[in-house]
Amino acid sequence: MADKEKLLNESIKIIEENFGKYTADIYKNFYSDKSTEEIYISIQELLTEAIGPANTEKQLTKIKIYL
Amino acid sequence: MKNTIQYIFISLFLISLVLYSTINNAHGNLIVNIFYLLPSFIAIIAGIYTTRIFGIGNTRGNIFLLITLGTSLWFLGDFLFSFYAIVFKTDPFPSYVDCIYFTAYPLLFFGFLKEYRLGKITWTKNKKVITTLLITLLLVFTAYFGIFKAYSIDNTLWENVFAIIYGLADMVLVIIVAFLMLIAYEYKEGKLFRPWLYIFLSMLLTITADILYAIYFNEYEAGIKLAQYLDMLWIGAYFMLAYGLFLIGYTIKEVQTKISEKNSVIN
Repeated sequence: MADKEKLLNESIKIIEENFGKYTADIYKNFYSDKSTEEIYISIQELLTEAIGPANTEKQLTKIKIYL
Repeated sequence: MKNTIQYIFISLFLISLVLYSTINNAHGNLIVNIFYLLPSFIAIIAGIYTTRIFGIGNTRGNIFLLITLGTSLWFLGDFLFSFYAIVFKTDPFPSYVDCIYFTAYPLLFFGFLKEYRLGKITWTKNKKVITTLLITLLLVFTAYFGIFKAYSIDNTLWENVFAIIYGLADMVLVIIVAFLMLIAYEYKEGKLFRPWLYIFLSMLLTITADILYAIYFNEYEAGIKLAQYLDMLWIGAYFMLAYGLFLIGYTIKEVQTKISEKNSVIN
């Protein structure tokens, strides 16, 4: 599986865990034509706004490797 | 909308306070009972609202489902206590009504435990010290007043057993308070910090009211006015829970609206 697909899948999983299935589905559509960097920046912004920078760092540890 | 809801809750709280101040024998009064039951009912509505926004079948959705079910059982217990007090002029303690109350605790515990696990909370030295102090302090009070002092030779076996179970349930609530403090702190600087802080304060207020109830049990049951103001603590706690639950759902709804708009612009 390409890194972008892995990053996308993991990102959607994180969004679903934090914001529910419906939000994850909308983001899946939104990320479909985005690059890995764009996806990462977007999910970082989304999480930081909701759960703060410290917890965001922890949540994103496992997807950082795909950048 | 957030502010409107906040003002409505504060207004309802103040109306309840006025009612408790002006009506004698508050526990036997229908209007007072309605105002007592209202915040827990609103908390159920807020819980359903947030659960629906997350959707059922995913981790967060299940967390809010458990919290909503737990709150519903507390409401049902309160409703039946009021129903017996007004219609039959009796106190249904000890009975199946208490069992409904007790069933709420494991649901709430597992709901907040799941949230604690999802929060990926890391332990620092300060967190360990503060959490240990808080838990120890609250456990000492609940164990002494809720369990040790709850036993009375004058009571029947079942009255003693049920009174002690209430004390044990409060110990579960102490653990929940600790989870909530850590969860709220974990989300500091994020939009979800404030709602979790409200939920933490709500449970802290509940445990404080429960401890005071155990201390002033005789005065409360005898209908002494000052002791009956304890109800205001539970009412305040339910409003905070309701507002916290609502704010979480509202925050997620905002995220959904924002991204849906971006999607529609692209398409």
